[in-house]
Amino acid sequence: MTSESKIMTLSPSKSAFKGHDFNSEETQILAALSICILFFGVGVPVWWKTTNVYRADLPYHEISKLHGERQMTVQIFVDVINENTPVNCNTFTKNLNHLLNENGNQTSVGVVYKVTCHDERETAKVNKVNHIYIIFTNNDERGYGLRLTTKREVICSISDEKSGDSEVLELVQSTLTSLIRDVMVRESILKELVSNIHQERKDFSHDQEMMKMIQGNLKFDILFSLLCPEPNEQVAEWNIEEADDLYLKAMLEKVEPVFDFNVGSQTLYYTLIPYAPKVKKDNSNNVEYHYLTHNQLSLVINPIEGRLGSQVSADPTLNFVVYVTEKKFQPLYIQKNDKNLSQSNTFLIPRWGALMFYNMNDTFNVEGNSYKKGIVDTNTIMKPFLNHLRALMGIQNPKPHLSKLNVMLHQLNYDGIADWELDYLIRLRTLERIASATHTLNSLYDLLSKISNIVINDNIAEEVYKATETAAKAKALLATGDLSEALNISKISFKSSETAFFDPTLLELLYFPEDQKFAIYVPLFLPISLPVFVSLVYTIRRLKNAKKSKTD
Amino acid sequence: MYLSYKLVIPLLFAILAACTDEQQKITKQVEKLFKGGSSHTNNWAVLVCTSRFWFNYRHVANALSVYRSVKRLGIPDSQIILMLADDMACNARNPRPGKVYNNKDETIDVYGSDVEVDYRGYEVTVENFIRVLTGRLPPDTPRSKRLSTDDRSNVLVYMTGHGGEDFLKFQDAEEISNVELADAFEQMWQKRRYHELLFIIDTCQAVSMYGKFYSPNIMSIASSQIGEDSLSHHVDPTIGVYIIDRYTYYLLEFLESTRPGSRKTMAQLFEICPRHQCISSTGVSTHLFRRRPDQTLVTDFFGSVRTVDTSDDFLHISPKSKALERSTDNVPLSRGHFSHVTQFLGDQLDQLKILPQPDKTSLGSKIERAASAAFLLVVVMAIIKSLIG
Repeated sequence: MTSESKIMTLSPSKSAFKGHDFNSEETQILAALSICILFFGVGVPVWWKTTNVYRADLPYHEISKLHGERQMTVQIFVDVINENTPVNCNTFTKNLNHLLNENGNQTSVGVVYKVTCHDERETAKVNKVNHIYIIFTNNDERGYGLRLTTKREVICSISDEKSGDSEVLELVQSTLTSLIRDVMVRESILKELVSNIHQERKDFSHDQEMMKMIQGNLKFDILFSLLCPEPNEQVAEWNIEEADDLYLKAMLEKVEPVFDFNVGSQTLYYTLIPYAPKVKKDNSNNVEYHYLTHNQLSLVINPIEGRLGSQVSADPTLNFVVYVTEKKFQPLYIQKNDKNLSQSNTFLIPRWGALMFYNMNDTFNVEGNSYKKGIVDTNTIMKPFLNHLRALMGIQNPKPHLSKLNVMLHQLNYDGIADWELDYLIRLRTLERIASATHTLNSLYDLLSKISNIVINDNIAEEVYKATETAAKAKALLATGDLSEALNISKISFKSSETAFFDPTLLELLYFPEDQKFAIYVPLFLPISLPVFVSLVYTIRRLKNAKKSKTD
Repeated sequence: MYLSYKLVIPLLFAILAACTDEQQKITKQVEKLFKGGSSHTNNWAVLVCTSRFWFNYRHVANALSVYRSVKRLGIPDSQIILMLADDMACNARNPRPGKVYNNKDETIDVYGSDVEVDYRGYEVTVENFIRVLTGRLPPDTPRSKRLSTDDRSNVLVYMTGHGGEDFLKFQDAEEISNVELADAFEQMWQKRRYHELLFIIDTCQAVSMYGKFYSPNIMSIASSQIGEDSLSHHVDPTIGVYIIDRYTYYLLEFLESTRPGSRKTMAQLFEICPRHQCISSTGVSTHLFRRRPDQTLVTDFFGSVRTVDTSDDFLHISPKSKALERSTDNVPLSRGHFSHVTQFLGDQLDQLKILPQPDKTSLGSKIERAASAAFLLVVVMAIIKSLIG
């Protein structure tokens, strides 16, 4: 009889096991074994399962596949239409196809052009999304020239005798190639943007432009602010609702599929910018005007930013501020880097908005009181602001491009964006959103494997599934050329991936790291497991002895 | 001969100065060209004081002093997240109610009337701190409590309080370990929530807190090595507590002489608080940082110098009422360029007409000018007199 396992003896009269001897060795062995089995076989697994970090099923395989095949292909349709010129449509199409698709440097984004030939404009159904139309006409007397319209057309007017000249046709082909690839589609920036999202960027040539662009969020607020720093001297007002109607509404409606903009406006009084403009004096030492240098502009926004109230809404805000210059600094101009004065008196702050210094004319109504009230001319302010908005959205004004051929650009309509620019914007933002969703999902996957304390609830798993499926679908649609549907689906993918990644419940078990788990459970398990373990050891020893004594 | 020497040497200096200036300009341009990589467009700061109780006054003063400097150098309140674990200004034991000082001469009230504390009192927890960094806040959190950074934001993270080896104590009730902090920064990097990050920590055994960082573009400065204590600077006998820590005291001294457009570099910042002044030795970690410290400006993290774009090659956009149809009367420019049909200049020019302004100096400023001239004259006379007599 061992002295450690002192089993309490039940009084025989109360016990159901009347007559059974609880102190026998067999009972002890059975008791120890059953406790061990209960402890290790039932207790420990239950504890393990219930304290495990909850992770709903996630499509890990699809996510890594999506990341592995992160190179995307965009298909663009180029339709060559020949209207009564002797140009051979088929040979031209073949050559252009060859030129456009050659060395499509397969890095992050591959662009594939499908060039086809059509006889008449009507059969081709002009102005479809993601199409570029090259129309040959012979209506011009000027020899030959290219015109890029605000729709998706490049009109190539060529006279009859020139259309037989192969040199001319080659020139037209090469000009069209660089026009399409570098201006209308802008392959290099598409590649740079996507490789930047995947953190594999090697080309930094478009850095300035990418710095200005707002990021892929779906909703933005546009806030117009009129700042009157000294209302006791001069008060200003503006008819911003009318300006919004005339100028802004059409543009925002046009880009609605890409961004959802909300417009608001406000007037602020007594919000001063504490700046010190430099003075330009003329020959007779009189003050000609005041000006601010490029470096001074960098510090202008910070003091007023807190007063603009742009942090009220949950969506990121683009601020367009009109500052009515103080009387003592009028007229105030902006000096650019090249020492010339700015024509528009505005400057753009990347991803934030723009600010304009508005010099009130002396010629406005004096209402008999000591202060002057003026009307801010919305024509003056909307033109530069719309251009800044274009830059913020990602549309770059075409830069002069050296070629032997004359290319003319049509003036923009009142909606402020050409159709081909809209196509470019859709392509850019769709690629951005798909790449961003892919990268976010992959980061989530990496984080989950690295940090073991992140919880994945069922609703998050649902979002991740949705994001993965839609990202793959949008990629496939881009490759076939269905641009509008790809855009819609990419929005869903982007939104779901962001929701999943930034959900607050992911940090539920945050403050429960591994070593602390140890510190909590050891004091609970150790005192119990010690006697169980020791009795197990003795049980085994006894069993061995019993066996030995039997065989002896 | 003597006179010619007098002329030649300054002339030589002048030429040399001009050359070096030119040289500097060229090197700056070359540097910019070969900097290789993108730049930041906005600055954010996360300033955390983790201690509560009256005798930890100096930690709150530390955080508030850095807050003041950062605001003075340009970062707006909307881009500063200030977390103070206890309220010293309105503490019942504060003999100067509503004010917090960081020096015993009590010259600057670092609390002031326009301080914006985003997380106060018991809201300063490890969980909230990690949530702020990673962006995983509940959807009803106001914008002022969010760190809405993007991949072009430079973030300054300043932490102060009581720390130990591999941990930092929050509120006397919980701790954040260096592993958790490293993971939080990695989560920030994965979602590109910072462009470059400067981590400054002023606690005991501070170096241990940045030892586990593994995300790129992080520069760290700690006030003491492992095994060393970070000490406080001096006591204010009228308030009765230690009023500021040594490292932060010398950091502020450095920042006081920095103006918003300053060209001081991070390498100069590393030099502050040597052992004989601070008793503890500071630690610096730049192996994760891409740029060299002597080429990184202090204002890249402490100030907010925004890049602006003043180019105005704009396209003309007409309003809806005067909508133009697809116009065919285009004006071709010279060969080899795109021609924009009309630039938008035209009607703008008369608004920007340069009018001569009459010189309107008030009587007050005239008197001011006269007074300062008189003062200068008196000083000069005094100097001459002392030289002679």
